[in-house]
Amino acid sequence: MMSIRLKFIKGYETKYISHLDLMRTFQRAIRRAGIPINYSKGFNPHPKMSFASALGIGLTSKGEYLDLVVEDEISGEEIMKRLNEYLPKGLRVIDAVTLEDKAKSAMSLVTHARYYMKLNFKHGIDIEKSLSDFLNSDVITVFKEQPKKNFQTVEVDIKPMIKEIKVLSKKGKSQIILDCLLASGSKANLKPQLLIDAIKNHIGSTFEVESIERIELYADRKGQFIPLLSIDNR
Amino acid sequence: MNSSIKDYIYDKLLPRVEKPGRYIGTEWNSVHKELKNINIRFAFCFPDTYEVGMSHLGMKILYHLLNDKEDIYCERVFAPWLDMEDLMREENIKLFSLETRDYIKDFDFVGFTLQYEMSYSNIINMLDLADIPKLSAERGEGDPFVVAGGPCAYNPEPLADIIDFFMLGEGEEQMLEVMDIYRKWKARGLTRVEFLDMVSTVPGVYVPAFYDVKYNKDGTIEDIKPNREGISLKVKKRLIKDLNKAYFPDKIIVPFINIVHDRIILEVFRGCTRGCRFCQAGMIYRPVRERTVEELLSIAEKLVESSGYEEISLSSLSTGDYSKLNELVEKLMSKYEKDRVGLSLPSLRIDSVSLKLMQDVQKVRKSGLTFAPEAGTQRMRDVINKNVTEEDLINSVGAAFDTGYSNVKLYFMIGLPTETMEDVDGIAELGHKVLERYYQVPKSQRGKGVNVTISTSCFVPKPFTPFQWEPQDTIESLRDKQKYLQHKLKRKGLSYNWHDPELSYMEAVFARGDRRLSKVLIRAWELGCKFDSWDQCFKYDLWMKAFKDCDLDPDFYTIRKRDLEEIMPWSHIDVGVTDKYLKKEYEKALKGETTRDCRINCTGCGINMLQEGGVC
Ligand code: SF4
Repeated sequence: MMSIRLKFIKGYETKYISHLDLMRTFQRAIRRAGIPINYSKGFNPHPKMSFASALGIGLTSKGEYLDLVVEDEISGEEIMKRLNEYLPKGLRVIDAVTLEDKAKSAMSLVTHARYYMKLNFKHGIDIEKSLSDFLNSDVITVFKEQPKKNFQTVEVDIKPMIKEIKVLSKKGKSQIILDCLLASGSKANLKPQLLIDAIKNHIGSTFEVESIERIELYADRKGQFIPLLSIDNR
Repeated sequence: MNSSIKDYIYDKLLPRVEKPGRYIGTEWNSVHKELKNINIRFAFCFPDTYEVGMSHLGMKILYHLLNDKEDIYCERVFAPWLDMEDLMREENIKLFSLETRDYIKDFDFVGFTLQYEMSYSNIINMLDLADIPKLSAERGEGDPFVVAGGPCAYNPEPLADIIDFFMLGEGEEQMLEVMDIYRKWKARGLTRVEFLDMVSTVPGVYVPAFYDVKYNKDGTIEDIKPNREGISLKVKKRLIKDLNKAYFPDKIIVPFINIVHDRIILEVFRGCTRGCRFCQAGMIYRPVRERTVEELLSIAEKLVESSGYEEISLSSLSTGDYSKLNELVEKLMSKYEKDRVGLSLPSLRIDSVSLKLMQDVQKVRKSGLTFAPEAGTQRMRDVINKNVTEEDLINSVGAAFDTGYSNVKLYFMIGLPTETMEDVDGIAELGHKVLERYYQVPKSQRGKGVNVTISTSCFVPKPFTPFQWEPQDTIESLRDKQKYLQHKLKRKGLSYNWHDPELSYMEAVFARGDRRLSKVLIRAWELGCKFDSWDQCFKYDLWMKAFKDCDLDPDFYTIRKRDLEEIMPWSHIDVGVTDKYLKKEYEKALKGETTRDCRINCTGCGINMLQEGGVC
């Protein structure tokens, strides 16, 4: 038995697939591809696989991760090759590594995520100034719904969860791509949509979101952000 | 179509609906073709949600059947859910296909599958959303042909003004014959009516506009006659002689989102020999034609490989009657156990399958078992020819309880012909007896948390059954019976479910309706009726208003007893089972006489005479 970590793209055609549906989609692709996945013991056996982090509906990603446990010796390369033949359009494995025996799961490793957010601003807005105002405030509060508590809202300060926001590129006077590094994981988790809400609270509805793409998932190692594929592999 | 609209739908509309996964169209095994090589575009429309429609086997077969032809592109269309419809209307987006998101009004064919009567209002709504004229007579050159098939098409009349032509019976061969004619017609650049003329020569094709219906003063039908040369008096349903040679796809679409039946459906056989008198399927799908075990194994193998599904479900009208069921189940289980493909056997009859088999199959899941005695007393069961005794039932549930099951469901009908309160009471009594049987199992051996669920549906008389002449029970009477049962079944361990009689009433109108109902359908749609089979959408009052506005009395179709000599709205349709047989069965029913299973000995229903070289 051994563990493999896959890095995959969730593209345009699959951006509306929920986390649960994505799981089923991978399970079936794995079956079609004949990958010897390991099953849990017990009453209701299920294939041993886990994703690093759920991606919001409507977002695409270039950096999703999936850990698998397989029965036989099979290389990550081989799994990648076979799976890519059997995954529906929009999903593609781009890298794979074999993990060390005692490796932690991708899910428990991830602490941060990078997003590119493409925003279209209304004309005549000084984008840079608005953004720096926003980032320079001491607290950035936003109302958050709690699905587990009957969708009651609480006020949270998301400032500590924003590691970095910078302008990646600009197109003309109105389009901008922001590069955002946000807390993501079991300890602290900032969904990009909540950040958008916060920006809108602060500077008004002066822009529309064109698209959001997740770029990479990281583990914070003493201030170094290491992509998940580069950790714990043989 | 303008590609920016397609992108707009995908990027801007879908994020605003509750389940965008319904409208994606790039699922595994979905078909995507180069449009420049396509001669015929077919929109296969299921007038209900994605989750319901994608569970339907017939659609899976015809989708690939058509797409296997190089010059045909068949795409799927489902009824957009209410949130999506609102957005489409707001933004002036027309009904589009899933695969290309092209507007279906530009297609050659728009084909609806008719699985249940209460989906008809969705057909009108979908045509409206598509911007296709709702009435056949209003469609002109350049509009698609709106066609329909499926079990409800055997009484096509309520949709006669809307559908250009119906395809009756099993479509695997007929569909391609229609396509052949269409190619010829298109190449010659002929008119719309010329195509209808040409296509009416395909056996099983029914063009309602080519028939005139005359009515008597009392509203019954005086006669139904073809109104042009060369049109046959009767249209015979199509039938595949040998299922082993029939087309079956080697792949099926694997949806992203959860659908109602999210598994491989293996159709073991078609038809049924039991002869239950209330059951339309048992009559219209005759005769029985089995697939061989080898053929089924080969189909299963291809589908498991190409889909990655983890479950196979055997399906037929009464799967337990399959002559090689044990062999099939054993072979499937031994073949797939290690690959962890599970097997499920739905709708087994209590008298035809050993519990052992079910236990083998359902090793892992001790979910509930279902039984369908259908009626509460032996007399009533004899009337409907449901050849099951109380002893059979108690033995079967008993065996289930003995082995640790504690959850059983019992299905019954109320409002059956000749029913009295004694028969209704019998349902309650049977429920109690089943529960008693559970308590006979020693405490240490029985499963915990017993639950016997009793469900009653309201009987709807259907065309082509021995009860087609019978009135439906009234809404008041049905409701009284339900109240009675609610009262009688109040006990720990028993629960009672019932269906709204109003919905069954509407179903009964359309099941045996004539072509005057087309205008009621359109009126009801104008008033806001759609998704009638969804509780939260069904609006009985609006339907009643529609009837009133059209000056028709729905009671005429439901609670009126028909004379045996009355001309039925579907009397120009031939499903093979003869009128003579149905009448004989009706008379026997009223006398409480049963008819044996014709698997053992032919009981002369007539299906073997439907086409040359009979099939029984
Ligand atoms: S022809 Fe005879 S054997 Fe065949 S379905 Fe009818 S009654 Fe049964």
